[in-house]
Amino acid sequence: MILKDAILEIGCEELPSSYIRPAIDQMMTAAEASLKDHRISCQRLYTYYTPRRLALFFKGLPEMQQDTSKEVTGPLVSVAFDEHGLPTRAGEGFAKAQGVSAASLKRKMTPKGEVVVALKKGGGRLTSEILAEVFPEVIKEIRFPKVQRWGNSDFLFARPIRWVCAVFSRSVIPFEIAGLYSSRETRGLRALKQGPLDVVEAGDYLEVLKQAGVVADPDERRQMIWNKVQLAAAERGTRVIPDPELLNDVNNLIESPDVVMGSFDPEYLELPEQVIVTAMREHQKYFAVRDREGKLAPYFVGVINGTPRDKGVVIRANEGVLKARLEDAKFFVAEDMKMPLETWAEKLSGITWLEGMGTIADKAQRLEGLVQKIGALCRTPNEVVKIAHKAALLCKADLVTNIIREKEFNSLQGIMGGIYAAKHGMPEVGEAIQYHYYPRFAGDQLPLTAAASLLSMADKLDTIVGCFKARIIPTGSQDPFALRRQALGVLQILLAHKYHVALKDLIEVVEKQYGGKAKPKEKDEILEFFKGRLQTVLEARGLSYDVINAVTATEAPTLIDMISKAETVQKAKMDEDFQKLVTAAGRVLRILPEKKVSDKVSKPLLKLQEEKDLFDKIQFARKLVEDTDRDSEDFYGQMAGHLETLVAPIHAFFEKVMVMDKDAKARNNRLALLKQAADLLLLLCDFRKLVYASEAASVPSA
Amino acid sequence: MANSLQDLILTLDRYWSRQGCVIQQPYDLEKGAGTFNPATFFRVLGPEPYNVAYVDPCRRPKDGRYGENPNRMQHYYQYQIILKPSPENMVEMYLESLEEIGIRQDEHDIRFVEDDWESPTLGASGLGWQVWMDGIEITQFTFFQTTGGLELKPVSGEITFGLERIATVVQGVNSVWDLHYGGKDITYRDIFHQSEKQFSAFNFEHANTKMLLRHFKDYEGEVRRLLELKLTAPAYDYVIQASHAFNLLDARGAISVTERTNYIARVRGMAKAVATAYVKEREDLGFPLLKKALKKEKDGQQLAPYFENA
Repeated sequence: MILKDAILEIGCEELPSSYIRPAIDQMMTAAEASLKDHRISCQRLYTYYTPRRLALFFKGLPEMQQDTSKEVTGPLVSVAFDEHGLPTRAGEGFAKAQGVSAASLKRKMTPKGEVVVALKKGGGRLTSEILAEVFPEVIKEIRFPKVQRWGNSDFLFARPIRWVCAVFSRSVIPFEIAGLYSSRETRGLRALKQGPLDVVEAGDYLEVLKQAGVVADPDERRQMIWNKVQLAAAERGTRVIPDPELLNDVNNLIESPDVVMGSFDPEYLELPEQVIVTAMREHQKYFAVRDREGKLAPYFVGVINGTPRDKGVVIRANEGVLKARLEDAKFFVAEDMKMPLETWAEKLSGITWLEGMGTIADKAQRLEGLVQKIGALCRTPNEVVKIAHKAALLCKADLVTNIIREKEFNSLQGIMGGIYAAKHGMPEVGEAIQYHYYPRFAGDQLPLTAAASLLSMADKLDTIVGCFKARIIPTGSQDPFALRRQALGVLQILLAHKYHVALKDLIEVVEKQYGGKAKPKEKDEILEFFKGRLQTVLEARGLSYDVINAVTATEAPTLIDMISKAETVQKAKMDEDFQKLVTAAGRVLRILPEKKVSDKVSKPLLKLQEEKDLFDKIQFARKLVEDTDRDSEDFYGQMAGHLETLVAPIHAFFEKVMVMDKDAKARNNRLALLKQAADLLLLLCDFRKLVYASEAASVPSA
Repeated sequence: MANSLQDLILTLDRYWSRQGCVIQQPYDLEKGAGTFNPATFFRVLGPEPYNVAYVDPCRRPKDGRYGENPNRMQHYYQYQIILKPSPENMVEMYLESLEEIGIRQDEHDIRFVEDDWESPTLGASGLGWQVWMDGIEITQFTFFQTTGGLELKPVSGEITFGLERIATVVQGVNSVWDLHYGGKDITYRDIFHQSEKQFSAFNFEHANTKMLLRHFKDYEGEVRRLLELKLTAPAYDYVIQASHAFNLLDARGAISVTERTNYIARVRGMAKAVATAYVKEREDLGFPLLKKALKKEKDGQQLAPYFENA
């Protein structure tokens, strides 16, 4: 079979850089699915993009789609044909409906009897014909964070679409979209003003663009940029600070890579390094460089689109902009340093934190109380609490400083507070301020010091509780204050420091700090919310879903306990003895009704030896569990061992004792006995939720 | 090639005039941006086509620096272009206008960087770019999606730039105060520096806040009263004035953070009411400019002259 290539390129005015990757991924997914639906195999699908184009290159497509034949079962043979073997009206009707002749109907035996079967041949359409349907759909299905209309059109896209290039082998795939007709025309780099260029054969696409100054392959472009950036830095004897995020960002901002290297007055090196790097990075998208000793050097590398006639002009202009920004930063830092952080903190009383939930000054005040109380719960040493307490008052102060109020330096919040505190002679407080925002995103590092951890937990818990009070509760994709991430952060810190604290105690402390009466429902809601994050923490530790379900269905005094439980169960799950416990526990747990059952057992009512025996064994096992050393590493492992002593008595009980006795008194007494067993078993986990291989296929109900 | 600031204006006027724009003159009230000019605020509403370019003085009381900052002033000039509907080659037209004033594409790194524009006081928003030249922002380029809270159809393209900023780039000077304005070596400083100092002092220190608060209320009442009388244009004048009063109060620090949102919402409320009234008014007139354009099209003439240069 001869295979051919196809190209689909959407030509736009400059797309927002952050929109490009998600859009191209959607196009790729949609195209793959669509081709599969149409039974067209593609050897390989390539994605190309620049700010002005989103392109899919289909390598190796057949000229026709694959045929299919499908069997459609029809009426009984006795219905479809008369005694002479001629088709009846029913038979004709069925054949017609399936688009085949009655004569071609086959026969097949089924449990219902012999039926007729139509063999439907499908497909055989031209690939080009199908692409003309697929391409516009692929474009229409792209979703952007924000879309616009333009001119007279109602079509929505991230920016105006100006051309659509669609070629299969050497022919145009014709379709209409956004008021445009597809063609074989593409456009090169704006600055070259070449006008429309023809893609004669789909496979020429990259080459046509290259001739027009555009490197459309993003990987190739990224590598070119990185090479040029490194080379430029090396020419001054410096090394680029690697910044993959910035590299991706600039890669999405240009289509024809080149670089300029400029310098700034070394006097600005007195500014904190982060400030200089941010001034270069955030707005101007420059790479920063270091000298041989690893110190920040007074140069920058800027990535530009296309090669200007005289780079000197471009460099001087860029240097001028950077100078203005550094000058601004210098002014801001000098102004900010004129006052101690305490004075800045006072200004927080003018800034609303959450609508109806007071100011940031109020929050800082709560944090001061919270670090002490949480510190006590976590048994944090006094000197740590002291640092955290000082930092609590000051941790938000940088929000009102000149530098943080500037948009481009906004990302330095916490960092600037930390720097200012250190400059005012409080390095440890500074660290706590800087790291109290950590972890800031999934996979981010945790606060480095104990004081920062304490403050971080206090801040996050305060935010979570405050948001619940203000009814800003995450739903679906809506989580404006990133409460899920913050809750996860709290759990991660608890875990990293092995703080044996119950979540409900923490939440209670925070609720109290807010003052007033907390609604009991609210506390439950928050605990429930944390349970969702708990799932994430457990999954991250490689625990299987059934174990997670089994343990989270039960109580644990602290997060550490929950994890310890889960790890114990996961490890024991395949032990023979433990599996016996699972079976026995299952019998007990399944027979108990959903509604509340008393656990008051009347000893005189226990008649049979097996029920008396179970009663004794339960008391004994409970005693064993109570006597186990809570601080032991293997507390839950030992607990499992103690619970296993119940296996034999449970089975014996079910062999001999009729639980659902006609006599209500005897029945209730037996249920109470089982309730006692259940309560004990559920200290470890809900055994019913554990899934074993044979039943793994069935999805657990919870 | 433009050299003095006034030559720059003349060059731009001539270029956009050739593209079929009406060259309007500044509107005689204090505005925070060229968008406030009725030639934009009103004309982008409704279905009638309109192509216009104009210079507009802008007042941003908070941006005053007593004439000490090389590129920040409380009073400056914007050059504003509205093309409605936004034509297909609008970006190319814009780039051509840059070449006219001496900013050549093959000499500079010109970039269109995502910037979603919003004017909370006008209830207006759009998507577009900041245009960068060699790392310097030189233009705001926006496809208007809403104005006065109304969804716009067709979409207008708006090109706005600070004339002083472009002029410093073209003339190669570091400070706006050193710009050659025109005449016999008359600089920007010669013309504006004294008043810039005075207005900075006025904006930050001496503007009568009690009076302004009172005025704001009065203007708001006036907008309502005039709208009832179906006097849309005068009503809009008071929206502009309320907005300026608010800007002055804001510069004086007379408005707290929470109040700020509230004041902005009040101006937006007025702008929305005026916009709605304007569209109704034009509809009652049968959208005269749309009729004219359709008639021209029927007569075999092109809808908009800007295609001639495409």
